[in-house]
Amino acid sequence: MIPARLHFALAVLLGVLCLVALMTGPVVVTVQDLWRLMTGGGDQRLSLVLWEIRLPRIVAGAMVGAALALSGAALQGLLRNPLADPGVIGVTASAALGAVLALFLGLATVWPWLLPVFAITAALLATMLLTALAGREASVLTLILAGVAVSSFAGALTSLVINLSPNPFTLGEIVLWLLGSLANRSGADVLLAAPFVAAGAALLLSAGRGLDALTLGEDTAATLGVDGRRLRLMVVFGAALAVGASVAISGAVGFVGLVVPHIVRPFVGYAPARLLLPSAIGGAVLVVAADLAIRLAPTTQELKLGVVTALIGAPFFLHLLWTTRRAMR
Amino acid sequence: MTLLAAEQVRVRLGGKDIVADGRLAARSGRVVGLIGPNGAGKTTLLRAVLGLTPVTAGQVLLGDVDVTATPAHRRSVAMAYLAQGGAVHWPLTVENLALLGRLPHLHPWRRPGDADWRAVEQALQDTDMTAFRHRLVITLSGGERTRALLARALAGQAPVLLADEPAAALDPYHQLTIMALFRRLADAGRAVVLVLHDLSLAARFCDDLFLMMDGRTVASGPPDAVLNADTLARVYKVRSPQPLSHGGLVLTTDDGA
Repeated sequence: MIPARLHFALAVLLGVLCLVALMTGPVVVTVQDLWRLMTGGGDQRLSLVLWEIRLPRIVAGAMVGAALALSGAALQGLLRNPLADPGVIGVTASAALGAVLALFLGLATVWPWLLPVFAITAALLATMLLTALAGREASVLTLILAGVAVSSFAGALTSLVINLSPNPFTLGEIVLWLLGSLANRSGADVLLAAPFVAAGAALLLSAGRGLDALTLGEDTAATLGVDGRRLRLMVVFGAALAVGASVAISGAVGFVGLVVPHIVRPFVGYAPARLLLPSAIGGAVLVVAADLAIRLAPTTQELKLGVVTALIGAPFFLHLLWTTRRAMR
Repeated sequence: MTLLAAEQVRVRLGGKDIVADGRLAARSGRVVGLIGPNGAGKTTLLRAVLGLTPVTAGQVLLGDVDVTATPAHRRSVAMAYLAQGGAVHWPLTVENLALLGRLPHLHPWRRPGDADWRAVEQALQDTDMTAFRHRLVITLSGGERTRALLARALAGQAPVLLADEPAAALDPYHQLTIMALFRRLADAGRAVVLVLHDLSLAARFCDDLFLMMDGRTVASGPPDAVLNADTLARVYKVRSPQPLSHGGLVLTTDDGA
């Protein structure tokens, strides 16, 4: 499928999903209601439900999904490795640590913008550590092991913070954060994270050409005029911004960056640059759909988004390992 | 016309002169062989010329411009590089692989245009890979893969082509085919520089040879002048029972191998 048609198909799918998500819930909204609300009329309570509760949640979901899948696609291009998901390699866990730290210190309640800043800084440190640990022409194994090390360290520090947290209220907040959820996100939360996600996405999307060249290895890419150092910085900073900011909205949501690029890749002929935009849209589709499924699921306790994506993603990760295990040696 | 000239190039890495006095000159229409025993500094000299390794001293002229300190872009349109081994990290089609060679000419946000596709087409024709254009690189044999990677290097239409041991991993038939292909590319106007280990291939297909030993270019000139009994014994520690002019190069060592 040519990319233009792929983009269009994915965008239509995302649009339809968002509409369905907007209309579905405890209060069912019909198309006529929606039309009346958009043209300024209609029920005020309905308007509140739609614009203040459902819309921020959908936008947050789309943003988080796009950021995670785009970061996954770009990191995979940089490390030339289909398993380089921000979750798998410990970037998400580190961003969560940053966010948890901001919550624990009570900074996030005083200055809300410190939450994304903490998450982004932690994600940045993790990504830098990881690219240093995994090296330039890293094997799959080295990368995964480096990811395990970064993840465990972030996990240990997070446990320490939980261990030291003074009251059950903070504790509950932190644990809920770690599960990953889009429930109760306000427009303000979305607006706070949006500039960071946008900046990260811009960096990642403009790295496409360099990522394409990197298919041929670092030396050949350099002879094609690609500045390897600059490219690495762009992807590392871009992924840290996007992942950090999305973790600040939703908590830790894993595997989106692994699953989506993997599905999209055959449709774009495996070219790293052409993978970026469709992955972003596909990521938005996946997270909005997963969140819709969560809202519709007849459970007494609402399922957490991070739990659901992990339940889908971890077996997928196993499957990927299974199919690529020959190349791993 | 001399397109590329490296003079008195010195490359110091880790406190050691890997290349102490490297020289190289490539002319349009000629195949130049860069030869020498293992560890002589051939690959490092090639990398220095390409800007992959910083040049400590000396100059690398592209036309009449010293490129040791210029941005990468000038080099990327003038010189194409075929790396040894040639990794392709994603299962691209041959056509999309060749298209990567157009990167120095592509506007960052624009799709490849007619000129790009014409160059790719030409590169596929030159390497005899047109029939393979939709095949995935991972499904190709060694010889086909080398030609596909060469098509990538040619697609940028750089006047100078540098290849690091392009024939090393190939069987004799494919070695000869690929060398004949380099010959044709030179005849069509390119300047071709090849790092070679196989002296008989070097003798047969190159117009000029640059012989390196211990980081220095110790001899240069036409093959029969460079590959004489004296240098073979001194540099390579091998002997040739018959002179080069008697068609082909047969080598023996002193201990009878």
